[in-house]
Amino acid sequence: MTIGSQDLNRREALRRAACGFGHVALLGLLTEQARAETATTNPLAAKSPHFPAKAKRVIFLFMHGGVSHVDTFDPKPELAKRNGQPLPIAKPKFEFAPTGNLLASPWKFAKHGQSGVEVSELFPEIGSVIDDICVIRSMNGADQVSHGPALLNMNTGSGVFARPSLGAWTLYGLGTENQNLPGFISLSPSLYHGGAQNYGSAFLPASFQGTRIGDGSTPFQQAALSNLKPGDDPSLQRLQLNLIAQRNREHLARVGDDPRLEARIAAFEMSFRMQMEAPRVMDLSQESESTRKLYGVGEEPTDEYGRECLLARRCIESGVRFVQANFSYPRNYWDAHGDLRNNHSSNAKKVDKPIAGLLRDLKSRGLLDDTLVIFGTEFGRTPAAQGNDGRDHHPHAFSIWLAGGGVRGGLAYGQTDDFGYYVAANKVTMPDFHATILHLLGFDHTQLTFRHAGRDHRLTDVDGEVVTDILA
Amino acid sequence: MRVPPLLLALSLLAHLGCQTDIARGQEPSLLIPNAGDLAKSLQLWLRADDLALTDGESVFIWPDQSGHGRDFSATKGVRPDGVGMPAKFAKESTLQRRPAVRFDPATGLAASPHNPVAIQGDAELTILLVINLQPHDAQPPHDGVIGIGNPANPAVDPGKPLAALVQINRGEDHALHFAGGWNHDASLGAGSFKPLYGKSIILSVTKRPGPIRSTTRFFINGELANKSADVPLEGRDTVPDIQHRADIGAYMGKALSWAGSFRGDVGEVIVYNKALNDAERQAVEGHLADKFGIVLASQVAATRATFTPEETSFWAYQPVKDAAPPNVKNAARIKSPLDRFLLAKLEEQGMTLASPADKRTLLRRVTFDLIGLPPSPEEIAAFLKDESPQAFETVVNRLLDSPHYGERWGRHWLDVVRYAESTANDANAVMRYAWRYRNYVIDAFNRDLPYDQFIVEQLAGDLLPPTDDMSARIRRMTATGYLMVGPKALAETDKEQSRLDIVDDQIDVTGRAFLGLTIACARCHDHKFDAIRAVDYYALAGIFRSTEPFKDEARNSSMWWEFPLFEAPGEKPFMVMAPQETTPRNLRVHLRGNRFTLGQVVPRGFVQVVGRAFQPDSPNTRVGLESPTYGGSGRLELAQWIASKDNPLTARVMVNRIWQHHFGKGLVATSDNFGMRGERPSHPELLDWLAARFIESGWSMKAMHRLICLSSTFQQATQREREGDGERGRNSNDPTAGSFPPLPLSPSPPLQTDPDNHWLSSFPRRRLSAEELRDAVLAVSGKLDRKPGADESATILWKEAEVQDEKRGFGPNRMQADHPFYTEFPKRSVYLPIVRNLLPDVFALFDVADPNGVTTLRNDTTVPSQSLFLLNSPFVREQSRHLAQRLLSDDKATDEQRLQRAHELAFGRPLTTNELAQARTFLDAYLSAQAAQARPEADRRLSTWQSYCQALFCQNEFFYVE
Repeated sequence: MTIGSQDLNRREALRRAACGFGHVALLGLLTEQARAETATTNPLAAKSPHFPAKAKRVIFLFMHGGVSHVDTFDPKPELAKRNGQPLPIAKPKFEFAPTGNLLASPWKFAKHGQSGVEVSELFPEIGSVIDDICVIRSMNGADQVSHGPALLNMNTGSGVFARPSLGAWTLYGLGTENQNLPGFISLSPSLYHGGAQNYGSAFLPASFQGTRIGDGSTPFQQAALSNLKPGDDPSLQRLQLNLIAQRNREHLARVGDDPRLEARIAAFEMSFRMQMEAPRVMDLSQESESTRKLYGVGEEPTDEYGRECLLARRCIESGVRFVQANFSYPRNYWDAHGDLRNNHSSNAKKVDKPIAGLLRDLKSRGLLDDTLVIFGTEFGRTPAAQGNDGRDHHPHAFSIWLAGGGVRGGLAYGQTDDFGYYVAANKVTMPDFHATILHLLGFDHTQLTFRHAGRDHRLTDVDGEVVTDILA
Repeated sequence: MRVPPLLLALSLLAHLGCQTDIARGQEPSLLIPNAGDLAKSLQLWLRADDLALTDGESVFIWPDQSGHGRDFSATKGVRPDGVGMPAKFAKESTLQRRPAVRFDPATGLAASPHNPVAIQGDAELTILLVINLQPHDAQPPHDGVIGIGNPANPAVDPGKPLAALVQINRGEDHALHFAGGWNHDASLGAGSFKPLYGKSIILSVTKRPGPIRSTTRFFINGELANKSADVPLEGRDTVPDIQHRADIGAYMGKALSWAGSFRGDVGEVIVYNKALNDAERQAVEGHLADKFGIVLASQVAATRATFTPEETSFWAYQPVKDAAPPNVKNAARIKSPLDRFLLAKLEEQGMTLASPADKRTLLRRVTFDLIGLPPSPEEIAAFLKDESPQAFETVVNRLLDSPHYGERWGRHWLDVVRYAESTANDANAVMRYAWRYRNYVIDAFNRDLPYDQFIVEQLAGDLLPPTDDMSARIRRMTATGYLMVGPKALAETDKEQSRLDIVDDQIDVTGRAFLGLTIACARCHDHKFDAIRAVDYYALAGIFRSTEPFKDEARNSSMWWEFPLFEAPGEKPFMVMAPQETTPRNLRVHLRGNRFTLGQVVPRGFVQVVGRAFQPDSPNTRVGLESPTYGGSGRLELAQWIASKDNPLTARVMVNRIWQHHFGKGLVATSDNFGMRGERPSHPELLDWLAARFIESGWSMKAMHRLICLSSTFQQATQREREGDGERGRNSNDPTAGSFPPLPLSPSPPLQTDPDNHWLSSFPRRRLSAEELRDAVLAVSGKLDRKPGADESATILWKEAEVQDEKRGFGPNRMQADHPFYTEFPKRSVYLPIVRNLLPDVFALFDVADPNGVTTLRNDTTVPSQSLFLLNSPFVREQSRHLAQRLLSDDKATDEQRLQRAHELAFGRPLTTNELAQARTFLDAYLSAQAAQARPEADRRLSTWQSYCQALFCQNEFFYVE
């Protein structure tokens, strides 16, 4: 059956219903045909990418504040040797604040897994799953030395202009699998440093924007989706919805065909279902005790981020396309200008177990093969000291990692110089990073475009090359 | 004093930047006056920017920077027989608002005779002056700008020039001379200086040894001013013999009683005892041009773009053609000439206009359209009762006179100009006086401020001629909030980059709002599709960069300009947020948009392809400004250029916007892009006809609304005519009792012919905007406060703001998307706070404009989160309860009357018998479903009615306008 005839049947059914069929029949029809419905009227309907790809969905673990690469994923013995000595090469043109001499990492590095990729003792749990992880040690965030522009650059591809976020582009390209849940969810995003722009849709239609659950200023344990709690007893609300549906159908019959009116009839039904489904997905008590433990839920200091990671998995499993699990300002922040030892140890303890738990859980459920997990941060930190025990912002070289869907695990890609100051080999710029993510999802980043203000915009603007070496 | 090495480094950097493909080798390189070989020949170097004086202070000594110590001093009181008063220092002089030494006819400075300039006999020399001179009446009538040597006594003709003297002979009709002595001059001829008065110029004079007339060259802004290199100047061709006087060295102005005085500002004086070759001279001129923001003639020529015939013949750049409305077959449907244009196109394709909409539909349509609110039952009754032919016109006029008109149509404009009250980016600081601009816009629409004035006030209200009318002054200054309310990256470390990004925002909004041009695409390279060159972008960027939004580079807590316009005792000062004009400057092309890879200097100016379309005869079309040495920023001239009735884009773009908001889509569907990649007009003749009417009406927006609303095209039904189905297709918001006829199973021809309703064979159904939705809910519930808003938004933002740090200002961090203010504030939505990146649910869910950029047409998305908002948000539930209480509070009414009233309020029509039955069934079912609840019956009844009222708000009929 072609889409066109399906469409005609549906319209016909609607018309017949309007002429006397009971509304129950119609509602049943609407539910059954949710996908067909959305194919014509819902921009969020699931769509195929440009080419077949392994990754079908994304979990983006975002570490706000700037995780120090030389203390986590990029070992630099030379720093220990030259601790307290001046940097023997030129410092960058833009620095956020003046820095002093080189500072050795307070943490030891060790080889992990069969691959032997080195990870510092800050992340023992992540180290234990390193064979599923591809670390990119050669990230470059251009000149974005401030949090706001750097966050926006990572999340939207531009630190300056309002551009759609990575999640919005993904939703625009792929739609979503479950029409009863938002397709793009941002957990606990910061209200600062670009705020909602970091998960916004900018000039893309609003339906592609991320739905926020909680915010960085509030403990995630208190987070909830807005307007999800029925204002009425559901059975009473059902009566109300029936009246709305009946009147809307009559209105539709009276004024004639209009897909927007039909879409809105369907949207009310979807929202009613979302009221039922979203609380179920958000209810972590449905998980077994051992799963909760795997994520560190119910224990400190891992409870909060453990909940985010576990909810991320539950969302993904229920058909949400893109989940960003933020560890974000002001409650959680890697911005160690001073007090590096305490800051990074305590933050690492909060996220290490939940993240490793997530990877293990995804793997055991067979979800890791087609779920792309990204561990990202807006920039690294200076190998030179700020004060005695601090590091400044450092976009010139830093580390992030990818795991799952289509990524080669157990790989450390790219290289910085002996001090971790600049990228020495295989530089990955932000557009390269974005191009690679889109590629993993099945898109040619140069072809995923949206016409706005007289030109075709894309996530990677005019740059970006896929880092093919990290593909499985 | 020595030249700071930094200056040299900067010059070199700029010099390197010139070696690019864009520079094409046409631009002079830069050279500071004492660089390299030139240092040996430098004899005198006076620089006004060296003087550490306050504005207006006397210049007793103007130090020589040549290294020879030939300082100039005032002659009166300093030198025997001296008559010249000291010159005055002008900090922001007429010389491009840069520092200068100001001379008037009583002023004279001179150097000591004991340290003469090494120019003697038949010497070669070069004099470079950066000046802005004015005519005056003092005697004698020759202005001695600078002299070296001994001007001969006119009574004793020595037969040869004894001095090197740059002077203007006012008595000889303002001729520019290089005078060697009485009647031994090389002259540019009568009138030659006249066009140069009041302009900032670089005047260079070179003289090689030999007869004065044939060896002297004058250059104005780097261009040879002699008729040609081969044609000698006027004058007597005698060989100079420069001799020094015993009483005075080099001198300027009224240094001694015999010396000629002049009036004007002098920024720099440079003398070499060598006739610089072209390369050397151009290099020094290049340095001076850069320093003073003066553009050399060669630079102007280098930025003049050429266009292909295809580019210049593009439809949007052609003058507006006022064609007669065409003839149509069905003349009976013509209410307005504009209908002819529509109907003609429809008839060409075998279609026609839909039947007229019924009166209720029409009233609901036009009321939302013009004021963004539903009609009241009383207004409906009055309109139904009025059977005169002018009934609808009366309604349109009433709505246009309503103060709510500006609240609706002002909001359309605020979308375009990316209005918000916080800076976005990381600081997202509160702009606490932005609301003044918002209210200015609303007021401008209500007053029907002519659109051309609206343009000029927003772009350059601060630069308009002074007026005594205080309200006009306030309005003009407030209007420039247009330039201020855009997003700003306050935390950007590279401050110049942050300024250039603000300039980019200003260019983007100006191009798209007024001209329908995506000029900002030309920031990194020539526009890929349109005839807009990178030099056009930087010509505009120079204009905007010459206006400063910030108080200082440090950007402390109140970082941008905000100041009181007037203060009356006992009243709060009237604060506005407005930019300040600053030193005008020309920018260099930023190659690939990078400010560290610079190309050629671009004189400030406008978009060339548009300019040449309507100013083909103007020699200065390239720059648009009066001349390349123009002293202001050019912002006012830009505004006037845009607001010109001859500008082919301005009127077209605005009538198209007006059309778009009436019909949901513009005649040019891409209303902010009239370029190559934009859509072509569906009805080009109509677009031009409307543009012509717009200008003819004195740019009256209300006249345009009247023209459109009173047409058959506007008043037709949303249902198209179907073959043999004339009656059924009619709009029926006034349904006969009970049932509606079923629609045919397959669409009739018009729907297949034109599925997108491109040709307007029916009125397009429209969804309420986010603001209309909220306002309509409040209006129907009875809780809307219709008084205009003032500073409530700023007050709540300020209250909810926290100091982030001194540099970043006040972020409205506690102003969350679900802040109660957004739902509790009873005034119209246009007065709600707009925090960038933190829009309230009621806005963000319903596709409100994202204030991070220009929004020309809002999205129209339908997603479940919208329905969730309508079903579960405290706002809608609360207002439903208010409506229920409103209905129930009338205890004399029957339920049927209450239901009727609810329907009238919400949909502007009576309830059908079928709907009445449905409603009763619902109320009974809902009430009985609560039977088990232990609440008092009155509460259960209220809940029941609340649920019913909420269902009305959720209906498509409430959310869509037919």
